[in-house]
Amino acid sequence: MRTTTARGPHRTAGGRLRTAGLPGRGRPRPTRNLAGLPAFVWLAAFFVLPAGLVAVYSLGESSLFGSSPVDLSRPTTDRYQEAFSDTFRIVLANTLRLSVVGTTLCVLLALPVAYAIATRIHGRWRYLVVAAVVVPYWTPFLLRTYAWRILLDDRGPLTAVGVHDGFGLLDTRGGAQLGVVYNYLPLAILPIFVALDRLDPAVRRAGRDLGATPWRVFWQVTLPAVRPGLITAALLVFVPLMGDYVTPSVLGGVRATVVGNFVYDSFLAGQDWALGAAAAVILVGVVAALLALAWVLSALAIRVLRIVRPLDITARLRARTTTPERPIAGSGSERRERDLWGVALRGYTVLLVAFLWLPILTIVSSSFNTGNTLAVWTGFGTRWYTAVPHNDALLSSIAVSLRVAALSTVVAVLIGTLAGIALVRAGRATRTGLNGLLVLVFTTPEIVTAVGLLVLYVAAGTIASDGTARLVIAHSVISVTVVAFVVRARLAGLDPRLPDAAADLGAAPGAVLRKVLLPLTLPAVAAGAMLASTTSLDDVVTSSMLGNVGTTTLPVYIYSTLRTGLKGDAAAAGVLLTCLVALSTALVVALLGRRRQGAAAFRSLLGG
Amino acid sequence: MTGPTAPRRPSTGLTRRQFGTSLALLSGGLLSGGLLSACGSNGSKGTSAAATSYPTAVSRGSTLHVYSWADYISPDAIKSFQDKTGVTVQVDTYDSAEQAVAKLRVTQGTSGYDLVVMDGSYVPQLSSAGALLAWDKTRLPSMEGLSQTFLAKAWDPTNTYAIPKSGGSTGYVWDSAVVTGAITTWDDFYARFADAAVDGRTSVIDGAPSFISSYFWGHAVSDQTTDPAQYQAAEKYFTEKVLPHLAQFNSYPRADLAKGTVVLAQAFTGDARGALIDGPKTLKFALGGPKSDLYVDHWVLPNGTKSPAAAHAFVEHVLQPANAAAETTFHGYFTGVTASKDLLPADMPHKEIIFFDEGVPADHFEPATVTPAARKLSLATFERLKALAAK
Repeated sequence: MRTTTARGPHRTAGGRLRTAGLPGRGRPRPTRNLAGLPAFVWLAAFFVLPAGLVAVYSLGESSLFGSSPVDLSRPTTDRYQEAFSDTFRIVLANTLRLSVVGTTLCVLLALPVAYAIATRIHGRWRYLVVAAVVVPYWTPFLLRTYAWRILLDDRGPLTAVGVHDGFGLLDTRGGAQLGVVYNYLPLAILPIFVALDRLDPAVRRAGRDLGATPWRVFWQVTLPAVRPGLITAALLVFVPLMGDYVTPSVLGGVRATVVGNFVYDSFLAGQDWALGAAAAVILVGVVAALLALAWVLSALAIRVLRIVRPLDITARLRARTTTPERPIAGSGSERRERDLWGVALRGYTVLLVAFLWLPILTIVSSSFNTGNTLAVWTGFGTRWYTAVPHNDALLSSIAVSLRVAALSTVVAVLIGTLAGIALVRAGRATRTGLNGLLVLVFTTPEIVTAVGLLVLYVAAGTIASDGTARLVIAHSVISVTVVAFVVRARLAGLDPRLPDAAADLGAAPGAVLRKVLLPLTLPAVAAGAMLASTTSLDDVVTSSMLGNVGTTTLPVYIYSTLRTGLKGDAAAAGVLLTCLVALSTALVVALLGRRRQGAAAFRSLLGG
Repeated sequence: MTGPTAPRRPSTGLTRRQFGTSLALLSGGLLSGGLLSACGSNGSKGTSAAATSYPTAVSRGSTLHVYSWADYISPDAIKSFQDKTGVTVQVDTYDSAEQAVAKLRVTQGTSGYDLVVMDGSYVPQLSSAGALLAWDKTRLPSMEGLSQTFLAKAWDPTNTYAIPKSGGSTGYVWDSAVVTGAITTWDDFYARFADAAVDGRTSVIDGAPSFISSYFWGHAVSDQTTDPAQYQAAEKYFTEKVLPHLAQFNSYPRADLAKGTVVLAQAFTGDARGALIDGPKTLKFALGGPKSDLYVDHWVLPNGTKSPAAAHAFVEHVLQPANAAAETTFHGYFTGVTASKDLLPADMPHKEIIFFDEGVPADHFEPATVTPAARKLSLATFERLKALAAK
C-alpha cells in the first residue's frame, strides 16, 4: 500500500519486473548482510566466547580449593552423566509443564490486548495503554512479584473484596504459574502488538466489503499478519522461562523447583562449575530440540491446512444450508456487532491493566508501611522515603541501575534493530546463522554467560575494569536479542519489494534504511527498547557476578536485604526508580518528538 | 593495581594494549585451557606479604571499598569512622556469599574491594586460592574482647585471615497457638510436620548446608560425612517425614512467620528474631538440638586491597564495644565483642536469640565447614529432595 508513495513512471514497470523476475525475498544484495554484522561481532565477543569457555568447563572437574575453579587437565564426560540424573529429569518435566502452560497462557492473554491496542485504541490513549503495560515492569522484579504474596495472603487486602485465602494460590503450582504469567506478559503483548499494528485496517475492511465473513478475514488477513508476532511472543516467553528459576520460586513454594535451580545451585551453592556447565549444556540442547520440533510441527500444520483449506470447506457447507445473502458492510446491525466486540476488547484491556498494576499499587502502599517488615502492616508514614536520601548505598544503587539500563538499552537498540532487519532482509545463510545465534543467547542460562564474562574480564585486565561498562555489555547481550526479535516480528511479512523498489529508484542503501525501513520499524524499536530496559532493570544474576566497586544495582541490593529482612526502604527505592525511569522515558520521547516534527514522530513511534 | 600487594599480571605472552588482542587471547585460551592456568598462575604469592609491611598511614579523603551483605554494617559505626578518619566508606553488596567467593577467587586481586565480609566456612578456600591477605593483628588490639564462641574456629584456627564480624546459629520457630508443647530437638521439630494443624504451613531453609545437615545434627553424625549411606538415610527421613507437609524452601521465613502463612519453620537466629519481633506474641524460638551449626561472618582483607591501613582502622573501630553495640542494635546479630552486651539498649527485644551461645556448651555448635566431597553429596541429596517435593 505504501508503495504508492513511490513516484514516477517506473512504478508500475518496476513492480511488475520484480514480481515476474524474482520470487520470494527479492534480489540478494551484499549490503543487506551488513546489518547483521554488529550483532555477530558483539555476540561473538561477549556471548560465544564466554559461554563457549564455560561449555569447555563441562569437560573438567571442579576444584573448590586453589585458584582454578575447574581442572581441565584430564578431560572427561563424567559431569554429563552426573548432571543427567534422575533428579534432573524430574525437574525438567516440571520445568516443561510450567513453561508450556505459562507460554500458552501468556500468548492467549496477550493477544486480545495487543489486538485492542492495535485496532481499537487510538491517539493519546494508545500511549497511555502501552505505558500502562510497560511501567509495572520498571519496578524491581522481586518487589512486584513479592507483592503477590502480600495480596494473596489469607489475611491480605483481597479479603476486603471477598477473596479468602488468596484463591489458595500461594506456594502451589498455580502460584508458580501466576508468577510466570505475570512477569512474562509484556514480552508477549508488545511483539504481537507491533506485528498487528503494521496491518492496514483498510485491508481488513476491504475483506469484509468483498463479502468475507469476520472469521474468514481473521483467518486469511489478520492471522497471517499477526503470526510473526505470535511466534516471537511464544519464543520470548518460552525460551527464557525454561532456564528461569527465580520467577516461579517466589510464589510457587516447593512446587517451583525447575531445571534452573539445578544449574544455578551447581554453580553457586555447590561451586561446582563443571557440573553446572554440563547441566546448562544439556538444558540448551533440550530447548534447541524442542524448538526444532515445534518448527517442524508448525511447518507441517501449515502445509496440511493449505491442502485441507478448512475455511473453504465450512464455507461450502454453509452455502448449502443458508442463503448467500449478507448484509452490506457498514449497515446498522453490522456496526452494532463490531461495536460490541470493541467494547468487549476495551473492557478486557482495562481488566488486564488492572491485573498488571495491582501488585505495583501494593508496593506503593507498602512503601508507606512504617513497620520493619515489608509484608506486615503496622502503620502509615513516610519513614522510609525520608530514610532513602540518607542511605548512600541505596541511592548509589538507584543511580547505577538507571545508568546501566539506559546505556545497555541504547546499545541494544543500535545493534538489535540492525540485527532484526538482517533477520528479515539478509541472505539465507546470514539469516539462519543470526537466528540460531540469537536463540542460543536466549536459551543459555544467564549464570553461564556471567561466569564466562567474569573470567574474560579478568583476563582482559584493565581494559575491562570499568564496572559500568562490564554491566552494560552483559545486559546488552540479552537486550540485543529481545530488540532483534521484536523488530523481526514487525518486519516479517513486509513486502520485500518495498525496499527493493526504493533501491531501484536510485536510493542508496543508507537512504533505503533511513527513509523506508526505519520508519516502518520504529514502533518495534520503541517496544524493543522498553523491553530491553525492563530486562536490564530486572537483572540480578549477571549484575551481582560482574559488578565491581561502586556498581551495585538496585535489584542486587534488594535481593541482598532479604538476609536482614525486606523493608519499606526497598519498596520506596523501587517506587522512586520506577518514577525516574518513566520520567526519563517521557523526556526522551518528547525530545525525539520535537526533533522530528512533533506529532508525526509520535505517531510513527507508536505506529499511529 | 597499585600498592604493595599488586598481583602479577597473568603471563600469557600477549600484549594487552590493542583491543583486538583480547580476542586472540581469549580464543587461544579457549582451545588450550590456558585461560584458567593464566588466572591461576598468579596469586598465592600475595598472601606471603608480611602482615606488618602494610602502610600505616590512613589517608584522609580516601575511600574504603567494602563488599558485604546489604544493611549489614551499622550506619552509625560507619559515620563515626568517617568523622574520625576522614575516610569515606563505600559499601557494595552481594546477594549470596558463594557469588562473592567466586568473584574473589577468579579476580585474583583485581576485584577492587578493600575489605570484604565473608562467611567463615569459605575462608580456607579463599586463602588457599591466594585471594586473602593476612591481618596485622598488632593493629587490632580490640580483638582481645572477642568471645571464644567466634574465635579460633577450624576455618582459621589462628584468625590470620579472618576477624569475626557477627554470627549466629540455626533453630526453629513455631507458633505456640498452633503447635503445642516445646520443641527441643531436630527430631521433635520434624515430627511436628505431620500435625494436621501445621500441614502445608511449614518451611525449611533453602540450602543444603542448613537443611540436609539438620538431619545429621539430630542424629549424632558429622555433617561433613562422606558416607553415601548417611545421605540415603537423610533422604529417606526427609522424604517420609517432611516433604509431604512442606510448603516452602525459604532461607528467610521471617515475613511469612510474622504473617502466619507459616507456623513452623527452620530459621537462622537473626531471621527468627525478626519474626518474633514483628509477628504474634505466640511465636517461639529454640536453638536446634542436640546440635546445630555455627556460622560467623568475618572481615577479610582481599588480595589487591588498596587501603589496607584504612581496612585495619575500620575493623579496629567496629571491634570497640560501643561500635559493636551499634552494630548489634542495627542488624541484630552478636558481634562477638563481649563488652558490647552491657552497652545495648535495656529494652532491646529478644536478646536471648542474639546471644544464642549463652549457657550453651561449646560442643553444641558445629562450625560451618566446606569439605568438597561432603558438599557434593549434600547438594545432590538436597537437589533430589527439591525435585521430589515438586513432583
